[in-house]
Amino acid sequence: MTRPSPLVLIVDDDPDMLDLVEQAIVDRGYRAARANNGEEALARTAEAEPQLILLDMRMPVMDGWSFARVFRERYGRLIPIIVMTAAEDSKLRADEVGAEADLGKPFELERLYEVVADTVGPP
Amino acid sequence: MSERLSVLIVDDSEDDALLMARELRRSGFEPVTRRVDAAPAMTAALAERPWELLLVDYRMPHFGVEDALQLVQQAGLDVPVILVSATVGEETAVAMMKAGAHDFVLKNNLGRLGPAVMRELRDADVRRRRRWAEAALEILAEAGRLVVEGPDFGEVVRRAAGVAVPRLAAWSIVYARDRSSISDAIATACRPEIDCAALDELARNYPPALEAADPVFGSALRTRKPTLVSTVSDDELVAMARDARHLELLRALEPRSLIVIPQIAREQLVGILVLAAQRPGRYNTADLGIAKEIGGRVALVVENARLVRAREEFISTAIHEIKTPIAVIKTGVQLMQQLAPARREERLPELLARLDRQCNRLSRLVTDVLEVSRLDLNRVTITRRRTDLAALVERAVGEMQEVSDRHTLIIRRNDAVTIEADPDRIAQVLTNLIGNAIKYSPAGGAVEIESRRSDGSVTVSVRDHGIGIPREKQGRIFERFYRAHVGTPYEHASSLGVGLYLTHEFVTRHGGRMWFESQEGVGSTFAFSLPLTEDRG
Repeated sequence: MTRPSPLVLIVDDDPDMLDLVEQAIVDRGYRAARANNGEEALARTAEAEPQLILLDMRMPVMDGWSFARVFRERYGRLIPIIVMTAAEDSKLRADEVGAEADLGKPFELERLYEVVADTVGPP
Repeated sequence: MSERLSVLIVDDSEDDALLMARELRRSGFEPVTRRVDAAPAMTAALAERPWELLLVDYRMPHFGVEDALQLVQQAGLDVPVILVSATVGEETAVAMMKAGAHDFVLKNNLGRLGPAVMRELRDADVRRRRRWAEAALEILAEAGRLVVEGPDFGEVVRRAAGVAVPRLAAWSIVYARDRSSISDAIATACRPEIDCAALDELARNYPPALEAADPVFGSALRTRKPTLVSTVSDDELVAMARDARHLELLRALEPRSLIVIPQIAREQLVGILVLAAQRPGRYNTADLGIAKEIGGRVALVVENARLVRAREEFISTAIHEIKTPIAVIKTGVQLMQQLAPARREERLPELLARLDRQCNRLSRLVTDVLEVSRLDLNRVTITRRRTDLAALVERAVGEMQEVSDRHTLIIRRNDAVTIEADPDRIAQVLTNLIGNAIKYSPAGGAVEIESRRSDGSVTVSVRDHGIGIPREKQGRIFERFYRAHVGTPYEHASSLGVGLYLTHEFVTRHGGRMWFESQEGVGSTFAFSLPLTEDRG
């Protein structure tokens, strides 16, 4: 029996970005779930434990920092986070929330595929 | 004309004291006198209240003039001291003047007392003004250095607190507004003998509040006027205190003379400077005048530092905001590139719509950033031409409907109106207002737009049913770089902090007017009106 392909939760307040990253992830053969902000992301995580979170930082309602804090309290470090942000220093933002990797927006799709495969393996 | 004068008479004879008081009254003063004839009583009197004049008897049995003069010096007072004596030799007189007396008057020639007092009071006033002027110069130079060196905001506030200590104040507090409240940044400075931990606690835990009923800070904030309390009584400390701990701190820090300067820059209350001395009566109205000037400079420096920081944040936010649509565009393009031709064909229309939307967003952002720098340089030109407002409304609504499929933009009314206006700027006003309505109603829903023509003007309103604006922030939302939702869950809603500032500027520059109504949790309505200059018909 083959394992199901990893579920990637994409969190971004820009609906276009959310759609496009979802398409990119699905095109590659992963499964995707989506959330508009940290609060929705916590709800999605509770519904179906994703194997990876792609996290935007600056979002209304609940931002990436607050999400990461609550998320770590609940799930520890079992589920990796990759930060995607247009903020000046994405590496620093990634460190702030103990993320596995960072994608500075705008990023190359190839780099997205690379960090996703590095964290959760192939689809 | 009679002038109140507090006089401490150091003399063992009550009769002589009465004679001196009578002489002063004859010269037009209204003396309030106290007589002491021993060192402990004199020390206590000097500490208790400010004296404007000391009259010292030259010959007392147990208490010499030298001792009296020494007590004055020890208290660090610069108050006119006039010796009064039955007889005094020239040599002795010279020695006493060297020891700190300002003049002497013979008891059998008391008629000289009045003129001598007048001259000495004048001289003392000149000395005080000179001291202030020197201190003011140094302080202003210090303020100048702050500007040149351009340290960060917190550092500027800290140094601003330090400029008046120890020369002019035993301790001081500077409160400075950064983003939302008057006590965003707090700095204290104090002389070494002061309990600085207590001062910090006082500054942080009991910042001046507009609604505070206290007679000093509350009133200074409400009136926005510099306030002097020359002598602060214990009753006043009690009135200022909000709780037992507050009173304890006030009593420990002993502000016996206080100056409170609300700092105004660009018509906004941007800070408060508090100067405190422990000697009652230390500050008078002349001091207040100079303190006001110092306060004004400090306000300017602090406000400049705040704006520098706000500008840095603006630039960093602008970069973030500009990169966001670029990221969408780039991701979309790459996605297309990796698709097989058939699937690409299938997805193209949807993708092009996204790209178009994000290009519009990018263009609005860049325009906003550009307009802010134009306004800063005062290079905004409004190019008026005949403009179909109804068409602008239609177009803005069409463009912004693309931004969100969770919101329904409804044009409730759109009267046919032609105005003389700069169509680009009015379009920007419309998209900004509609964009805000969308952004701050995250649950989605209706955004209602109305353009109504009336006598001589046209009024456009945009109404949302969103999160509204907190009441305490409503006064500042048209300020440049002001972001009302900082510190709330909407802090990271995409915002440059300039949309309403630009909108307000553009409307005003068209001779129009702008206003809003907002209630937290219910929604906001923003409206503007523009004058009609066209011919009727």
